[in-house]
Amino acid sequence: MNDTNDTALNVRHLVKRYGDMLALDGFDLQVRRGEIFGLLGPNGSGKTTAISCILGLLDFEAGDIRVLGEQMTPSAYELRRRIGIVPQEIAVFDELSVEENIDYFCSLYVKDRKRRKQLVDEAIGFVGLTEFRRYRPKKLSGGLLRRLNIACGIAHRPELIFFDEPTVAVDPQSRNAILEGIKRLNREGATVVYTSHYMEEVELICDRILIMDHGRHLALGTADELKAQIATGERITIEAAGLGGSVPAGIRNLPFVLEVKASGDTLDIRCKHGEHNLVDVLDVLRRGNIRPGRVTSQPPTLNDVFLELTGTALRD
Amino acid sequence: MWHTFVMELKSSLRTPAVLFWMIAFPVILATLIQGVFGTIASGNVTLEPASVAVVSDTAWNTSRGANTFVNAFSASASESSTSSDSSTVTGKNSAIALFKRIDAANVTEATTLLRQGKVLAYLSMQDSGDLRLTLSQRAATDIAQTKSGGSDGQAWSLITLGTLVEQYNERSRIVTQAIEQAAANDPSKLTDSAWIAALAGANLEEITRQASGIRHADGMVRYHVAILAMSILMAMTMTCNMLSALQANLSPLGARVSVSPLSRLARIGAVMLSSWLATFLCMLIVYAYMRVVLGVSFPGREGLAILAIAIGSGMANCLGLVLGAIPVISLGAKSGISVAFSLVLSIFTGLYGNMAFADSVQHAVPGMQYLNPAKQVTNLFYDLLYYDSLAPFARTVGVLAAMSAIALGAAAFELRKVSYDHL
Repeated sequence: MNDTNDTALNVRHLVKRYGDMLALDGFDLQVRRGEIFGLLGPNGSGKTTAISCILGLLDFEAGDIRVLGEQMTPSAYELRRRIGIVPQEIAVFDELSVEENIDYFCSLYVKDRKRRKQLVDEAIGFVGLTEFRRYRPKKLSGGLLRRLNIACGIAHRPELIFFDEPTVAVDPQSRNAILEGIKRLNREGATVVYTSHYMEEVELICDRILIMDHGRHLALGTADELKAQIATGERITIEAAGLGGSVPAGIRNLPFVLEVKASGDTLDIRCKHGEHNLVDVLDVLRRGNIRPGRVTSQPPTLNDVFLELTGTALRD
Repeated sequence: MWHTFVMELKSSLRTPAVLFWMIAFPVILATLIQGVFGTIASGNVTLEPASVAVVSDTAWNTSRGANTFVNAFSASASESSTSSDSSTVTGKNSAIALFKRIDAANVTEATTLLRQGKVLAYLSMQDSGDLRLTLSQRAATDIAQTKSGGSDGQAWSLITLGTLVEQYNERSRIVTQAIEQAAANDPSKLTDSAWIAALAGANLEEITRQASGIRHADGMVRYHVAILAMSILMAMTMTCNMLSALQANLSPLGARVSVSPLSRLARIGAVMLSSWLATFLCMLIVYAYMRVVLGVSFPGREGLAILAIAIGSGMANCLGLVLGAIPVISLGAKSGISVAFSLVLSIFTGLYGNMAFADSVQHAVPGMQYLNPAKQVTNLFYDLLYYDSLAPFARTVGVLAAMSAIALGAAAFELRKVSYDHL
């Protein structure tokens, strides 16, 4: 992608080393203006390093970073005014109230007091903390703290916002509220770069997703495009009595079957892409005189995509 | 930067640990110390000369300095018996009389007088050239009781005499060393009678504190000054924490601030300014408490005392900055180091009740005390208390300014090379 007005973020051939360890190995990333872009990768894959380089927190050995059409440098202060960041950890001052915290972080970007007052009020309302504006962070629940963390990052109305796992350790209600808020910010014009380990969240809100590992770009596309890129096309689950004998072996021998897992009266079958997979599996059951109690067929999930591309080995 | 400064100031003045260590703790400590040692300075004690035998043997007679010393603080038994008011008895050299002198020909005679209860102690000259004060059992008991809050005038006289004897011995050693060094390096000095006289004269002069240009102050002030110095050094922890909170490599909060348009210089400037002002305000409260409630004063120099607080605060903040800038130590460890640093260095200011120890260190290892920021802060106040001239104060300000400049330089070097490891 060329660096045009449609590009919010353009990273090319980024290389970053920590001593002998190569953290980013020619990493590329292009984010379009106005999209919610998901950045996925296992722990240690280089996501945080990439974002730190983009934000000017880390030096890098090679490559080029352009943010909102401008070169990002440690002293690009005007450019920084247009960027927002919501870190994974709660990053607020414990001794300041909700309102004071938001006002302080907003003041780093907006000098005009009157304008700032309005922005702070809007941010407090946006994250639903109006009745808690005088509270100090220690008195807030985990979900409310997350919302405060978000408000501090978005109050100055940035054009490009980085969300680094903003929903870690929050209840489903707060998570929904946060995701809705991010979609609303996007509707109002902000470009969002979203990192998370919750695949369903990423699938739900991101327009495009990049999966990275070992400091490299592995796959890029919409959720459907990514699902189409992997071998798994369908997961069929069968619950029936008497599934032993020759049935699992018969299913395993079908040409489109990738893997069969038997557990008691349940068979979990991972299949390649195909139009008649379920019919063929049921045919094997019929020939083995098995009457299935329950049969489900599911398309692959983003989790399948992630595991297939990055492997199932445990990471730090 | 202004908003960051205001926010940092607000944040630090709302931090319970800051309020405790920099206001509550020194106020409590000052009150306790006033309670424990206050009787010395309260004016309730009237020094009463105690009977002390002086062993006038050959060793004594060959020691010119010892006799001069005794004459400065003693009254003969006949002189003292003519006075009904003990506090008006003075020594032959116009210093206050701490004891009634009774001569004994030798140690055996002095021991006999001690056993008979005719004297409470005796002074003798050792072969090493040191003076020794030997107490009777009764005197030792009286002194122990008096030290824990009593007002026995004779016991206080003996306590004071004991301290003076220690000082005399220390000074004598210094004079001896000076003579030995002169013999080794510049023997011509040994024929210089003026140099020898100056050495001997300075010895006694310092002990009797009769030198001109020296102001006299309430003894308790030294303890309170030591508390102020310790509290000022505690500000290191605050600065260290504030800097860490704004450093991307040390905290998520720092990372968040670092990606904002606020420059690193502005961040550090805001930390320095706000931590200095917070320290200064806290110390002013402590000083006001000492001044109004405990009666600690710097007569005619209150403004300069406040200036001393401001200067000391700045130095402590610079030390906190250099500690906070070290990237490889965790924040918790840094806080521990700064608290330990303040408490340990305060030992050498006499904070824990042992002024004699602090003075001994000052005499034995002056170089170490020169490098001790706590001691230098106390010196700022001593310079105001004890000297008519402001030159010593200006000199100590210079020492603290140099310390601050070195710390700032080291912090700038550390901050320049930091790399940020997490978002």
